[in-house]
Amino acid sequence: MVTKEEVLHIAEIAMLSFSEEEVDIFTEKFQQVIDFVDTIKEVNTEDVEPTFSINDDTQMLKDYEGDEVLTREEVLQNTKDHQYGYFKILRVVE
Amino acid sequence: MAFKTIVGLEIHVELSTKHKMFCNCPNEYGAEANTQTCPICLGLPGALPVVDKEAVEYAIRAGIAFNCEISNVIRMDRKNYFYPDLTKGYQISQADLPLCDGGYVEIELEEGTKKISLNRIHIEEDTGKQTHTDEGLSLLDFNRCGVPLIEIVSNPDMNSAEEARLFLDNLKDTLKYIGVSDVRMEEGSLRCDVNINIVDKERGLKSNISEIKNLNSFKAVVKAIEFEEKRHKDLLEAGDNSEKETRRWDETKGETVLMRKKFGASDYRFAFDGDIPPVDVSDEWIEEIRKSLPELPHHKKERFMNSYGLSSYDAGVLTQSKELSLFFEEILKYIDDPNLVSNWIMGDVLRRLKENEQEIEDIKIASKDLADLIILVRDGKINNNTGKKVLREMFDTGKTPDLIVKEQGLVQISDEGALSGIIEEVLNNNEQSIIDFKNGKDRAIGFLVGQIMKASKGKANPQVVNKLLMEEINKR
Ligand SMILES: [Zn+2]
Repeated sequence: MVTKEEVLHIAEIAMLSFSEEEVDIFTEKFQQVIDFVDTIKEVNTEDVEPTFSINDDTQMLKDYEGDEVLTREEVLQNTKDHQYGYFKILRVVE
Repeated sequence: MAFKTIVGLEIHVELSTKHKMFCNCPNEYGAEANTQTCPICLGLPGALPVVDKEAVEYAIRAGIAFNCEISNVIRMDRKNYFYPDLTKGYQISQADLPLCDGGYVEIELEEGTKKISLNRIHIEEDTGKQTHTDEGLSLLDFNRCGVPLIEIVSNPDMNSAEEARLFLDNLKDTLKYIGVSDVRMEEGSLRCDVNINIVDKERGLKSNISEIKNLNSFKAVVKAIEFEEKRHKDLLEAGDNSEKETRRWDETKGETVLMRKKFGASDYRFAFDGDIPPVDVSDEWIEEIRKSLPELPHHKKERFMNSYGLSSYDAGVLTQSKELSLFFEEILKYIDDPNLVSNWIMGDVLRRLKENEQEIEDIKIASKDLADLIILVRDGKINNNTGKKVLREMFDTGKTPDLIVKEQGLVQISDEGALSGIIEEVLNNNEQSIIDFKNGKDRAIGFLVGQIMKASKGKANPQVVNKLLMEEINKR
């Protein structure tokens, strides 16, 4: 069972806050999602190798000579707030 | 009461590769903010990470140096967390399948060698850097974001702050030796967390583990362990216990303080990173890397003891840095006397370096020149004190010993004819000392030798002086 406390904890680490009413709604919806995902357990996976990625190809390692960087102007062009070349946000302390 | 301290360490090491872990941004410390980023390390939509070959090679080097089992496949996982130092919302790391498994580091204790076993070494990316301002803001620089890291996790095999320090020293020396990191704690290229608890054997009690973060020097590690040892012990003795919690070291207060941590292990929701298919690591490649490794410090130390007959202590000091051990062996090419050369390096050379706050890399003296100086002293061309003076001059000017000896006329006077003139004169001027000596005051001889050395400007051969002086006194 998904508890209200679990929902509050997830809201906290996602840095979101909700009203009492919203928390109740989320608790119910989380339970529905989990119940739905649980149906996967009905599939018989005996003798089936785990799937780690959509294809089983392996990848090469990169070994590149030059550098590929964006300019600071390019980097900061999509942010609303910046200062001295830094992204500026409200202080977040873990 | 019999308490036992139990310490495990987690060490993050930035690898000094040319590029970042998953993109081709340069990996350099100290650039202007946000000038070394790209769509991949900024986590822009659609950008795909590819694992860097050099970073994997460096991690494997470390794995081999610390005796780990190297995996034949690389799998990367996502560690999800919501925090502004990474824009993607997750850090690419390794969970269940680290690149290097197991391994150990040996430390030298008074009672003998102790093996500290490792749990694993895995690869991951570093995060960006936050600067908090007084106005309640954070400034973000993503240059460091995506820099390759290895995380070395030890088992809880250490039982004191001193053992932890020795472990870290060994780890740092080895990482520098194999050239995978510049291991500068002050620049954050080596960072360490401590896990500690204590066991009360008599009462069969255990304190709960504290994890200490924010340790930015080996000294801080030692002080934090000592602080926690006492804190846990006091709690157990009072019938209480420590909490399983994360604390940070406060350098100004000299104590650990509680850190509020919102994330539990399961909150990270580790999952395979679908953007990075597995990468094969062949045995041939691992073998190639193994062969390319330089001789490791502890192997070199053993070789120095066995083939040069050096003491464990001397061999340990001489092999602590790669440069010092190379310098020592270079000198041996010109003078085949390991103990004599070791004495010079362990004594005057290291002392001068320390006085000048220099590293062996900074030394101006060529190995052949130091060999020449040692030969000059050994063969009695100059005496020991003059030798030290010449070395000082070599440190300052980088001149060859032959030139210094010639310029300052320092060649030792061993010629009996030349010395007896000086001795006679000194004796004539110090009649009282002769009487004192004959009355049993041995100290008078020391005074006379001093006067003779002074009159010869320090160049007289002390053995010849002693012999001639006794002969001359006995005649009087
Ligand atoms: Zn990048």
